[in-house]
Amino acid sequence: MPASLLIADSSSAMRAFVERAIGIAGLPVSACHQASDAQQLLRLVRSREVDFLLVDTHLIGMNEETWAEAISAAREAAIPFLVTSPDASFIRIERALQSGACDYLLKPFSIPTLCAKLETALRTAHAKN
Amino acid sequence: MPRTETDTALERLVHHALEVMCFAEAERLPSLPTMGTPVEVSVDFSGGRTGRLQLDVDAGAAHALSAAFLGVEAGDPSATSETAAVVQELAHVLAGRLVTSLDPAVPFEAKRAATSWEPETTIGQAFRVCAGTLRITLQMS
Repeated sequence: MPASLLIADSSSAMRAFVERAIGIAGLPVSACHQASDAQQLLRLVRSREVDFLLVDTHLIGMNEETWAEAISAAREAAIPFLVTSPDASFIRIERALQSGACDYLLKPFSIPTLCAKLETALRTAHAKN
Repeated sequence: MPRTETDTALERLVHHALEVMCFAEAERLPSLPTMGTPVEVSVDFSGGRTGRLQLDVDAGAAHALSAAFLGVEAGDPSATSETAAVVQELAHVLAGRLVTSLDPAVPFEAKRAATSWEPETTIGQAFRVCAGTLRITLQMS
């Protein structure tokens, strides 16, 4: 079943890049919502209109507190999430994976890499549901 | 003068990021050219290292990089409207990857340091890309 995806990234160019990649790959996505800051992310996750979340670690307004809130809201709504970041530090990667992320996608990434990760994550999420 | 670890890492990252994000090949220039009115963006960072990375890209090259990143024709309006955002994302990626490759134990924070700092390292690099020039200025403690 097609999923409703939320792309949370403060870069409008990156959001457009991801949306285009999804279109090219023909992934089973029915709608792409976008969030450019942590508050929009929280509002959309809590609205439960989202089936899957792609979130950048450096979203505007994102700190440890808002990250914990977003993850908690995503878990409560059973929304799987994939983390993107230019941060290759061990701590950031471990934190993301320990908080339940499907995967951690290091920037820069190509369209094939993004689509392969998304496809796997969407399939896994679908199988769980 | 021998090249530093930071200089080498930065150059490698520039090639990698441009290739992956924009399918663009970059050729390092032997000196830093003067630029007219480039698209100029910067990223302040703190954490393991404190500093600022500034990118200056010729308008034509920045537009070409934007079109390539978005996968649209050069004449597409989005290539123009998103030019600064694409260059900003490139700077963000370069800063994050560079800082965490130099110090992988400390997370990258894309924000200005709370206290004043003096640069211990200043690196300038310039590249020929998309028939234009891309110049990087890195100041770091």
